Amino acid sequence: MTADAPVQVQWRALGTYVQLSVSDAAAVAAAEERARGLLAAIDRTCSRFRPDSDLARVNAGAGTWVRADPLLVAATTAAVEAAGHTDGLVHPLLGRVVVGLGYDRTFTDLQPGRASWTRVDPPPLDAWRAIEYEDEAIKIPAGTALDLGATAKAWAGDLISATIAEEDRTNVIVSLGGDVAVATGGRRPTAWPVRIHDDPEAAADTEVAIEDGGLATSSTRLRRWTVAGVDHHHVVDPRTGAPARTCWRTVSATGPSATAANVASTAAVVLGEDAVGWLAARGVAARLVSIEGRVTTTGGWPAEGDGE
Amino acid sequence: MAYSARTRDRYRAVSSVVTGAVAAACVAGTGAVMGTASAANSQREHDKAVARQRAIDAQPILEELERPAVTVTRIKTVTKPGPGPAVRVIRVGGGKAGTGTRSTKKPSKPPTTSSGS
Repeated sequence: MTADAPVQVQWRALGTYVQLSVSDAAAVAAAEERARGLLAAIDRTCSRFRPDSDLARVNAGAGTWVRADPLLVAATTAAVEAAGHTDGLVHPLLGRVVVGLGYDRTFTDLQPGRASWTRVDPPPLDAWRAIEYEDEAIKIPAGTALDLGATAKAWAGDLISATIAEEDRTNVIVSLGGDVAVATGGRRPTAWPVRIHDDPEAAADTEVAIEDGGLATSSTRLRRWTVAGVDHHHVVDPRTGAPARTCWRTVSATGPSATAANVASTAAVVLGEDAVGWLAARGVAARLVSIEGRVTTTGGWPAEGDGE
Repeated sequence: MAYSARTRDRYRAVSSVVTGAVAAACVAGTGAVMGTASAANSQREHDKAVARQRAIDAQPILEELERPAVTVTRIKTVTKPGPGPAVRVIRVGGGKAGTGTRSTKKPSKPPTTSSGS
């Protein structure tokens, strides 16, 4: 293994897969250790599934100021900004709604075919505006609960890639469950190949190369569960409080960061038919796959068949 | 996680500033109506800061975590959807070599996966 020979390591964290590649093979051990440490800290502070997390304490104290680790404050800040950029379509206060839908434990622990679920009215579309935070404290509106599932993985990827690039001086690409963040550590950019799938177990739909920024894929085909005979998926429409009824099965989008890309892809799934205009108006390069498998592209995403 | 005096002191500092502003407004006597409104506003802010601090102080001090947050939370992430990196298509369709349309110049790097999650 020589320096400047890209190398990849993989493991699982935050309930999903992690892939970390660096351009300098000599930096991989330090980069992996840094990434694992950050992911452990993010899990400890931002997890909805850990009763001892800072997020769980903020939710338990809804309506009051609660001390919180700066890491959760930063993740919440990103989620609030995402809500602002999407008029609440990517909403950080759907915690009670997703629990009502039966997603009340890590996905791998969900029991198939549970008998009942509870309809929980979603908070107002602009409820996120009432979230307040200081450096080490957060207050969410009474009767609501934070769920950072829509943004936290992408935000974590951005944090990890930026930290590794800065500290280990290597080009880096990180995928956290499909939210891909790229950073350049003071070197000539690397053209990283990224395979886009509906399902990580399935064959790739397409393979692209990117050199910086972020790429994210949101899909309604994964993280599905059945409660009382009703099929659910994890992308919730905050306007209805139910899984988004959408014409897209998968949306991949790019952006200046993984978080920005993920905000775009998630909003697009929720928006359904209106997504193409919404993405185009913001200059977002995206690839949308309809339920029937028809591919539509926006922005600078090359049309299918443009492979070199 | 132990919450250092830093946060509390900051709240106290805010309170002092606000209190000072109220006093200054009174001393300056800049019109009874404006002065009253401003003072009431400042008093509300002061009361909110005090209530916030009381709520935080009432919570138990937790064990200090080892936290990388101190260094990493200064990293500002762009969250606004917009133009991203140039996308170059390497291959379309089929995940295995020899299927689909593929590039003649395949990057010799381990591919990363972007799938729904």
